Amino acid sequence: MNVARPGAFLVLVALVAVAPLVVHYPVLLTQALIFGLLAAAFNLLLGELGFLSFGQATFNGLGAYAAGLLLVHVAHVPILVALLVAALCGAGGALVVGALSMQGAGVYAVMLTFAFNELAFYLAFQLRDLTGGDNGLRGVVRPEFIGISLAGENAYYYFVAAVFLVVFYALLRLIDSPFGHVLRAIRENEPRARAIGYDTRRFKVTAFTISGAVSGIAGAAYAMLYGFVPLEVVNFDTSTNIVIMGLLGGTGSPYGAIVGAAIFTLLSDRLSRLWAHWPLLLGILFCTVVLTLRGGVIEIVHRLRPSTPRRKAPLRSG
Amino acid sequence: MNGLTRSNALKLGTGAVGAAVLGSLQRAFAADEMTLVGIFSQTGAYATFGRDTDRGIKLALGEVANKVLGKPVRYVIRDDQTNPGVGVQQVSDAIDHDGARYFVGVASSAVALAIEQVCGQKRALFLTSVGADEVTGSECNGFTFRWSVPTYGAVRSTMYPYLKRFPNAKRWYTITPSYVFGESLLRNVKEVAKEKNLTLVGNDYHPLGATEYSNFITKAIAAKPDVIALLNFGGDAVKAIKTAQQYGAKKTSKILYVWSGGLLDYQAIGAEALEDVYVGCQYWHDSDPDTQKASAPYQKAYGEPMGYVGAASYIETKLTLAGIEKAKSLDPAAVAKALQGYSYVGPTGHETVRAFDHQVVKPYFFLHGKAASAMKDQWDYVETLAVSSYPVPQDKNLCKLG
Repeated sequence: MNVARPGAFLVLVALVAVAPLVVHYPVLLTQALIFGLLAAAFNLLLGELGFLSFGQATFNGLGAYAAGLLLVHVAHVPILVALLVAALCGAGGALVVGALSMQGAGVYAVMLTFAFNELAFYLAFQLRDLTGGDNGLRGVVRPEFIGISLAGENAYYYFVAAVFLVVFYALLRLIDSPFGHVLRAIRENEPRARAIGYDTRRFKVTAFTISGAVSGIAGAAYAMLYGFVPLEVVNFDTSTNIVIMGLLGGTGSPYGAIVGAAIFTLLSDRLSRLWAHWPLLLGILFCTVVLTLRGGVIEIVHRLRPSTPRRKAPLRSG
Repeated sequence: MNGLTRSNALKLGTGAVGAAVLGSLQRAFAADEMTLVGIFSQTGAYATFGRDTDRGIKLALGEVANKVLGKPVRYVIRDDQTNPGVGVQQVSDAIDHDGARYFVGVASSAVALAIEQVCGQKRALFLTSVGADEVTGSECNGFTFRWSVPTYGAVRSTMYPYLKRFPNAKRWYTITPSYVFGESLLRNVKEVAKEKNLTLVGNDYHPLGATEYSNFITKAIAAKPDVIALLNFGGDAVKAIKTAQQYGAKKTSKILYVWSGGLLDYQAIGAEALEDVYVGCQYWHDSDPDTQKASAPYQKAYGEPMGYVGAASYIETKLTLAGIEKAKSLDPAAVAKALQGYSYVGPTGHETVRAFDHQVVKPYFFLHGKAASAMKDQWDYVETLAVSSYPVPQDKNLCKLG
């Protein structure tokens, strides 16, 4: 299997490059890319490792607040430093949550990720002096990138697009590396992977940490997109949306996460203008996909082009 | 790139050109009309307020036959999903792609504060009635206006008349939601308590959207206060009052619900639980001839009296249109300037837009829950005990309009 093959990735690069010319809505497209990062980070866990994390918003929030606080309180912070700090905070949080959650097995581990998400939410809610609580952390500035102003929405879209493509390509390479193979071995049969000498817990926590770092970067990009950090970045609804995006697109391919995030973001926006009860339509779509396309929407591509790289969708979690 | 055939490339290209043409047409039409965006929750935690917000806006637009300065008004609804990020995204898109410059609505303080920032940056007019005092306080800007009485006035307009009726009510217990709105109400309660030599015998914080209130209510009853003051709002207060009814709190203490959501809340609470509860409200349809007169068209159109939410969006829309007519311009900056100091008869009677913070000065209503047997119709939940106004003094307001 070679998910990082250049053809598919170049198509993605081309789509990301021309998207603002077709959809004249750079803010929404930027949000779709940010959600794409979140879904890709989730997919690393569910698609590769077979672990369902219900607490991805924790790391998104850590990244958003870390970058937000840095940009609010420290002058002239380079944008890449803000992203790096967010990645480190997301990774740090995921290291702790991952290490503790992996103590449990099966559904208990899943519930622990949910519990930590609730803990993070109430911490952000209560630490009002730091986070702004329910009112959010306002006044997050958007720094320049090597002298180029990112104040314009198109400029910021292309900056986030570059970050998105670099991070996503790194994830593709990671999935194709021996590390990725071990994750899939754990997914298929953890006792066997352990029996042949792998420290499976270490691999699982490492995957969780990488997933947290990517989610942290997404959080920082979100904070800079809107100029503030709302409490919603860390709430359970966000974690649920990430799960929906991941499953909608399909966990059988890293590209599925991107497809899921794009469909979820664009459809939510369009449907909300057509009908007050639009989540019902989204729910019907989600149920239809889950019932008829077990590999998610990306399964359609696989059915049309059987040669496309694919993986078996995970059958279990924990 | 072997998946991209010539026919697919042609389809993509045609789609791109089509979208560009549609976008240009949309912007061209936008120049000959005024676009008013009703931004409120159709989904999310405050979705229950969406229907009445929409009704209020439509009513106000209907009164002017959907026209302002002779141009048609295009009314567009955007769902903020009670999520600040979504709210900002929707407002940004409406400004950038629909040519919208006028926004009314929003029930969530967090969403309003986020939208206020965008409207300030993009020079779009925003009128709202949320609870956060920061909207016309520390976070104010030249393009945002607020109709609802701030927590400063709401607390004084309920506590002062209450203390006048019950001068011996010295022991107070507060139940506060642990977010900025609740903290703001509590701070004002403490100020009045100090001024009137009251004793705050206890306070409990609860999370926003808590489902269980029995522990807070039983703790409050055990403290034997004269008054249990509820500083929460909407669903939280509804659950707290129902729990207080179940645990018999009204037998030992009076209950004061400082900032109620009006008719929508009272319907959810029910007449039995609301009986003998003292409430504060931004608008009550049956308080005096002014409020009755304001509610009549709404009742005719929708078959029920106008509530606080409908009244808020109605007057926000009316103010927007009045500002445009006064300024004789669709430039939001000129409209904002025209609204500064503007006095008019609104849903609550005589109302004035203060120039220095864009806060509307209007009365606040002190009401008392009736017994079900005393209700003259299905909406007659409360009687009006007092109507008063306590605007935030200028020297206490952190607003600095540039």
